[in-house]
Amino acid sequence: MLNIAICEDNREIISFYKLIVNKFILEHPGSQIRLSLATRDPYEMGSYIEQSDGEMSFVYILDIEFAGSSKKGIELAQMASRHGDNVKIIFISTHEEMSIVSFRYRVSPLDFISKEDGMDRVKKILSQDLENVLLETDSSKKEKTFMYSVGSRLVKVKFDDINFFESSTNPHKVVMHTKYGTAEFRSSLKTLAESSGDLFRVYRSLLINVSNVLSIDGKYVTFKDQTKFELNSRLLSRIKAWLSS
Amino acid sequence: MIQLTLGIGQFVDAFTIALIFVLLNMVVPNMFKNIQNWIVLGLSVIVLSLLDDAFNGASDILLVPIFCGLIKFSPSLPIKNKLVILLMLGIDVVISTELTALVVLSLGIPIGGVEFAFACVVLQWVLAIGLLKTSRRAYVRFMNKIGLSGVTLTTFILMSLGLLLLGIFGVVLTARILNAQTKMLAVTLVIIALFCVFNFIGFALYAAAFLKKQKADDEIKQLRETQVYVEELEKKYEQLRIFKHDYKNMLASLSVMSQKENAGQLNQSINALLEDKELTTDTHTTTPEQIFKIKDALVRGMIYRYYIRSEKNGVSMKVEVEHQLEASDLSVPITRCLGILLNNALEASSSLGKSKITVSILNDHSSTDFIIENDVLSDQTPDMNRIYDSSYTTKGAGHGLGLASIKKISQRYNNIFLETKCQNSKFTAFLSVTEEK
Repeated sequence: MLNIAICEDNREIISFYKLIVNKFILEHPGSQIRLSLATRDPYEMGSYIEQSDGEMSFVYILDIEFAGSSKKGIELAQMASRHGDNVKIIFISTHEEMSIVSFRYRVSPLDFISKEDGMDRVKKILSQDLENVLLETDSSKKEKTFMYSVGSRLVKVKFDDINFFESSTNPHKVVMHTKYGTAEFRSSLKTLAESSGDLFRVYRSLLINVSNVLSIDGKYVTFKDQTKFELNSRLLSRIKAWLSS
Repeated sequence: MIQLTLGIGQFVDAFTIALIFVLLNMVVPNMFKNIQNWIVLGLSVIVLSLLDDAFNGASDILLVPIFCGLIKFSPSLPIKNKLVILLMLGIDVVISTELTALVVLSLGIPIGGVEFAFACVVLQWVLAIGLLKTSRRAYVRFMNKIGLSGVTLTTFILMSLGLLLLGIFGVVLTARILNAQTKMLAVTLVIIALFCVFNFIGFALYAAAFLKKQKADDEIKQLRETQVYVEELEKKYEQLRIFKHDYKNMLASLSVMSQKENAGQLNQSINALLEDKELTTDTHTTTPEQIFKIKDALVRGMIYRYYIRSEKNGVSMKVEVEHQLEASDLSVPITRCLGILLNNALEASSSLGKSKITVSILNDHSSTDFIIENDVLSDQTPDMNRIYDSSYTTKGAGHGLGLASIKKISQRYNNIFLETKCQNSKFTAFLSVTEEK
């Protein structure tokens, strides 16, 4: 079930979005899509997010500023992202260069549509985005994501991209190694190991993503992206034993 | 130097060794809170004074290993500093002992008696402790007066003094073994002590002058940068002035055209004007106004410096600042990290020809993110798991130390986080500073 929720303070614009979404639902009779909320009150949206079932898929269509309200679109988006794994956010707002940058890094939205481009274009892009979300939710293999936050920046990475975590010399931090780079954040290997069954604590300061191990030979663990990690034979056999069990 | 009778000699000797430990306690407090220290001190006072009787000068040599190995104090202190401390205390004791000997002998107290021993011990302790306190105070006052401070400098001065003191020790030991004359020794001591003092003053003055020169150089550099900035502003103003002038001319010609009522041509001209490059290019992103939102002078200076440098290298740099950025107590480490990241971004971009660096500063109540993004060629993607190794570089020898030192900084501070990734031909570095401690 794909839930779509809209929050926009302008009466005309919100009914326009509702039209687009309803049309989209009609065009896809085979899929389970529902327009579960369309509200002009950001606080109503907030309580909806809080009560939403984290297991389900959601698309939130949000404005950034709401007239007469201190609640901002970014707060709603941050709340929603923290609340579930399958959450997609589409911002539709007036174009401001800075907000795109800041939103891109804070909540990594699916899209940022500019109202200034005209409502025809909004309609076109929004339908396209919904189409993409539907394709992704329908595909049988759902991608597992890993989420961490640094200050107000929330980052989601594909679980398959993660190779390993290691402890930092700073006791409050861990370092994540992915296909694309490294990231430090506040956590502990113990907490991370408990969070997923695919993470195996090889020794005190190393946690590897066993689902991403390609081979173990000689002195190295090789990950699927060809990254090699040198370990002694005792630790390598521990990983082997864990993999075969 | 003066052979005393058995019991008295040991008595004086034991008190001399104990004196060194008491002086050490003055320099490094809390030394006597450790039981092991008490045992080592007690044993070494007894054993060394007995040994001294058998082998003249043995205690002087044996004190070094006892000091550096057996006594537990300031475990983080490097051994060279411990040696310097020992030498300083040693020379203090030696000077006071020699003075005591001179005074007691000139008073005519008979050598070898109990009276003699007590007079020696009391005078020696008073002199040694007094000397240490005064010299310490004088040192601090002198350094304050010439406006010098800093651990490195102090260590350096102490080391150079220590070397000289080592020489004195050599003379003292030789004199003891050769049973040389007390007076001759005293004269040598005074000469060396004077030499030490002058050497020290000379060195300190030289160091002060050197530091002042460096400070002045820094200021000149800063002034030069401000100069560049002012020139930049003037250039922009000049551009704006020319543009205004052109624009007025064009409006005038339009008004002439409209009087002739040639609607088609008028329309054409207006459209051409609207598509004018000067109007359509986004001046907002090519000028550094955004930089003024950074109120932290250190951070602003660093970003501005690279803004100018990238312009010179034909790389366009875009700076975006979300809210005003105030100075924080982490300005120095942040600026250091930014310098390294910007330098890396610029070096990577300069080799690409036409490329872009984007610097975004996002801040809200809970954190500040500095995001630096630059283009990389897809076949020149660095090995992201190795970029933090101090030896790793894509730029040839002499480079590559940058990210390793950023890593050290982020490890030292609980609330500085570093993230780097290379995806879709873009290298992005995130430097996040969170509010939590």
